[in-house]
Parts: sequence; C-alpha cells; structure tokens
Amino acid sequence: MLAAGRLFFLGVCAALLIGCEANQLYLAYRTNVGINASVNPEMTEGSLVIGYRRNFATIVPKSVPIPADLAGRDAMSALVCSDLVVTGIWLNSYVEYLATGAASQTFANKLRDGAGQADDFFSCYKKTTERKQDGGSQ
Amino acid sequence: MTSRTYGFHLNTEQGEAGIVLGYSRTVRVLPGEPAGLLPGPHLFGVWLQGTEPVVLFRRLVGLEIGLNDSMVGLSLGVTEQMSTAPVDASATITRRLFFVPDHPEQSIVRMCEGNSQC
Repeated sequence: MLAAGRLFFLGVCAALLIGCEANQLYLAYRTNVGINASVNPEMTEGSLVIGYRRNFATIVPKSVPIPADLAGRDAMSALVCSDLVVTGIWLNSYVEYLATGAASQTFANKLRDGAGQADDFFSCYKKTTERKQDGGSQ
Repeated sequence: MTSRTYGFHLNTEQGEAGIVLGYSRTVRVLPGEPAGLLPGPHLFGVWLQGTEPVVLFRRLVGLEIGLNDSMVGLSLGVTEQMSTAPVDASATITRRLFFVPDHPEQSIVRMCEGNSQC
C-alpha cells in the first residue's frame, strides 16, 4: 500500500515535471503539445507524450500520525478552492484560496457551522452546498 | 517579473535548469520587494538571487532540454507550466492568489502565517 502510494506520488510529480518532496503540498499545471520525453533524475520513471496532454494536480502529503496505527500517516489538513481558466491550450487565469493546518480547520468549522467568512473566502464550498441542495440544477 | 528569451537560452535556475531553443516566456510572482530585482519585463532573462517565487509560469515554444532535479529529457513543441510555491505539511498558512499569466501586473497574492483570517 505504501509502495503504491509512493509510486502514485512520484508519478504525479513526474507527469507535472516538478521536483516533489514528500512533506510538501503542491498545486501545479502543465500542458504539452508536441513531443515530450523525460525521465526523473533517479532514472526510475519515464514518460513519452506525442500529441497533447494537460495535467492539473494537487499533491497532498501524508504527514499526520494516525493514533491507531503508529506506522501510518494521514493526509495533512488543507482546504483549497482553485479555479483554472483555459482557452484552447493557453492558460488564462488561476485563482486559488488555500488554508493549511489549524487555519484550514478554523475555516472548515465555520463553514460547517454555517457562519461563513466575512469575505466569502471559501465561497466555492458554499456554491457546492447550494448545488446539492438545489439538486444540482445550478 | 517577466522574462522573455528568443533563440538559444541557457537556464541555471533550480528546478528549471536546461537549454531552450526557440521562444520562452517566464512569469514569476515574487514575495515582497526583493532588493535588486526590478518588477516588470526583463528581456533575455534575469538573475533571481535565490528568491523563491510564489508563482512560476513558463511558456515555451520550440525545443527544451531539461537538466534539472525534476526533469531530464526533452520537449519539442509547446509547453505551458505553472506551479505555486509548495507548502510545508506542518505549516499553518492562508494564501489568496489571483494570477493572470498574460497580465502579471494584475496578479494578487496575499499570504498570512498562523491561524489568522487574512
């Protein structure tokens, strides 16, 4: 399981062609049109793309100890709203609202309690809730 | 901060090191106002003095040979790449980001450390 998780972690990093460390949160985007052939510096993974490929991914590290499993790790606390706007193959804009650690728990508690934020910091979560309540019609 | 290069371009920045033959446009949103770095466009590259960008955007048209810690290989055609600054798993931060690669002067970044609602 751990090996599979590590392979997935490395695979996403390799696809995005960013150097990842296991204890950091990453958000990244990459588009290729043409030919791309690459391997990671350890020469353990490689990829060949001919044509078109777009990736937009978040990599959340597993850093929090699990009380019931001393060897296990759970994902870190993070609350993210992101909006990537693309026209054709070109990136137009990227909007991100991110909170991690205790800040993400504070925001999550306020969203759960319906208190919200003064400036709708995580408004995307409210929109998701409204969509569910309206039966997904919006 | 924006840099454009045409023709042959040797890049030695960590994570981007390599050779580009063609056109490249790189936009970096840097935190604060680093000394010695002027905001705006820089033709034919710029030395970042080790400053880590909050946002890194690259658009390449042509041939790139990557020789860095994330990629060893080559790319021929069009490549667009954007990444935000990684966040340590133990960090408590809040970050708001609005990034427009074609109009970086419109970009907005606001970051707070700790459990504050900035």
